[in-house]
Amino acid sequence: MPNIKLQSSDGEVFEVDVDIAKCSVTIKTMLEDLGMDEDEEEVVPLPNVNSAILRKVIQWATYHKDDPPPPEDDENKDKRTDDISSWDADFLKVDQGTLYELILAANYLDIKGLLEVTCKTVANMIKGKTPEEVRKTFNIKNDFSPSEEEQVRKENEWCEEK
Amino acid sequence: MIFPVEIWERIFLYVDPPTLVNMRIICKCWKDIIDKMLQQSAQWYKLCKNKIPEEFWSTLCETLNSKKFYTNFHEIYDVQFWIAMYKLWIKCKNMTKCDTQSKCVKLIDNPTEYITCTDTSENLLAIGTSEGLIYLYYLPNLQTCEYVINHMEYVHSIKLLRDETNIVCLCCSINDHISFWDVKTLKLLSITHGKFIWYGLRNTIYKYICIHQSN
Repeated sequence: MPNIKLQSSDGEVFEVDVDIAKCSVTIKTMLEDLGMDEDEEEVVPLPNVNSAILRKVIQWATYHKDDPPPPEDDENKDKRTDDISSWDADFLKVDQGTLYELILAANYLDIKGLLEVTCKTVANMIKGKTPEEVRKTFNIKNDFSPSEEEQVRKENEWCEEK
Repeated sequence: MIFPVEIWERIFLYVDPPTLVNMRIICKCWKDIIDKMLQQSAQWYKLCKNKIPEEFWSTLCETLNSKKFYTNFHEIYDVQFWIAMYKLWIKCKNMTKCDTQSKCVKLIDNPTEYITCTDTSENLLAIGTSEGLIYLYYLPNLQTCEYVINHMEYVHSIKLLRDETNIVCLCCSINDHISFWDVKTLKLLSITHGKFIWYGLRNTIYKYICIHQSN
């Protein structure tokens, strides 16, 4: 199996099986567009991903290398969040900072499966919480004025299941 | 964790619309993203599909708009329609969550007499029968009948009207005799003739309209 070299933002170089690297649409397109030859000793720079995150991403991609390609987005398909595999769940038992960076990396590298499972993990952090708890979880500042907040609260009232 | 808008949008795709509605209050940024997402009817359609058993769909639709008849629900792309459906469903669901109990009691001993109509007002239950009797019960006690009024004729329909001090029982017989009874004293207040078509409270006074045919 031919390998390619990926360089993280902090300069570390990772040698990865090409097929594994190509689960990133960004890398795949880069290789195709630039006509990079697989045996060449070229290094693909990934300036948006640091080495700790790149290591995680490669770990994920290696485990999932034989997965069938993810299905196309279907608006009417159920967006479930309770179908995260136990391997992925363990893999994502990381601190919030790492999860945050993984999502940004998955988005930048365009790795659909990883983006999906990380987004589901964040969605699960929202579900079943009160707005105040969610603010705390994500460290978001409430920027509504008291009267604006009251207005939104009124608009939301109908949705409360008693 | 503050993500770019497109990442929040991706995440919110996995959060059900009612939760998203509640999360509009988090901050202005979330409210804008969520409001935009909730304008897509597919989200609400999916929610209705998941939450509302299909046998209720027609009834809910009729309640929302009695003039329209829908067959192909999946072809409705009107987000307001689906929001209204869901709102109504929540309302109905909250209603059925109140304490209900059902029990079976034998109210009438006479084997030839049967119940023809009922009405309730607060805890008062009035039952009209085929023998022209009106039984009054104070719920939840169905073991002892509090009062019996004899209307003499098969009772066709019955209504309890109430103001702050009085309760009036209004009953209509099969022969179109309408009588008004004071429930507290069991006295006949008045009697008239006709078909009862409307009653209601106006300026704290109960009014009624009945029509009768003149020969």
